[in-house]
Amino acid sequence: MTQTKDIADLTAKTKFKLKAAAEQNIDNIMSCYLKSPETLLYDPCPGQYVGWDTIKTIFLDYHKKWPAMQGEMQHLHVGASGDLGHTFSIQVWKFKKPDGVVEEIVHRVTEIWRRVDGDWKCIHEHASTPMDLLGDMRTASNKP
Amino acid sequence: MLRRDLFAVMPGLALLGAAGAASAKDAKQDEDAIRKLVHTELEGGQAHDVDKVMSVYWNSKDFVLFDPGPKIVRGYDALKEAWIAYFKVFSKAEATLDELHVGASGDVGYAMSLQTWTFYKPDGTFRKDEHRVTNIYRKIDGRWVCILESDAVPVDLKVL
Repeated sequence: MTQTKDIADLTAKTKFKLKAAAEQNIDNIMSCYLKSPETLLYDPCPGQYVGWDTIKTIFLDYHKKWPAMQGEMQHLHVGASGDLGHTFSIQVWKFKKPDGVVEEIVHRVTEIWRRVDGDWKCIHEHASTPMDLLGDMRTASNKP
Repeated sequence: MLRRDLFAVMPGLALLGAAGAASAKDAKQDEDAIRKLVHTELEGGQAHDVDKVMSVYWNSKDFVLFDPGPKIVRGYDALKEAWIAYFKVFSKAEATLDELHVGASGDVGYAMSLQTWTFYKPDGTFRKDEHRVTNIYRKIDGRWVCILESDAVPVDLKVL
């Protein structure tokens, strides 16, 4: 397996994951994660989500909360060696609430991937939102 | 609590024999090295020891830090400036490493951790936050260095 191919595969997988999230296609979203009780998600909200089943529940909750989403990826960086890969990117998301209000939030997303049976699976995702640490703890309104 | 062995070794590694055992030994050494880097960073951050902190990072303009604030720090030199600025604002820091998971394969490694940091200002005020930290490491010239750090504090749910 060449590193060039690994990077191309991880790039495609990351874009597929973003598209699935925007389309709220839960099966496609979850196909990107390692189906394990130990897959770990740090998302922008407090706490951590451990396990594929828990992560699926979180996504389903988000889809109820925001019936429509649009995501744009910027500055994708990809690396791989052996059976581990990593990606990090800036993602600008627009979330439409049920009342029609649209929120734009910048996410910084870091993912760790492991090759399992020839397919890259996300074993860890860390999505964060920049904050005004000296202010009122609301998200900082920055652009990447 | 996660089991670190999920991320550390592939299933069935024990069946690979001597080569597998050697790989497992190498993986263990790599994980130990990465674990040590996480502790070094925490120790350096609390001691205001900029050289110690910076020793864990890749000395490259391509280093990236997603820090909890709005800035994205790009490059080793900018990171060093950020640490020095932080040491000026906060006179003292205390940290606990609440949870740590590491893994490595080939020249890529990672650490994901929960850390509680308390930052004190000279006037005695302080803030205490739970940080979720993900580090990506590469082995360059035989030495593990952090090429990306994603350090975040959870946001207020009410804003989302």
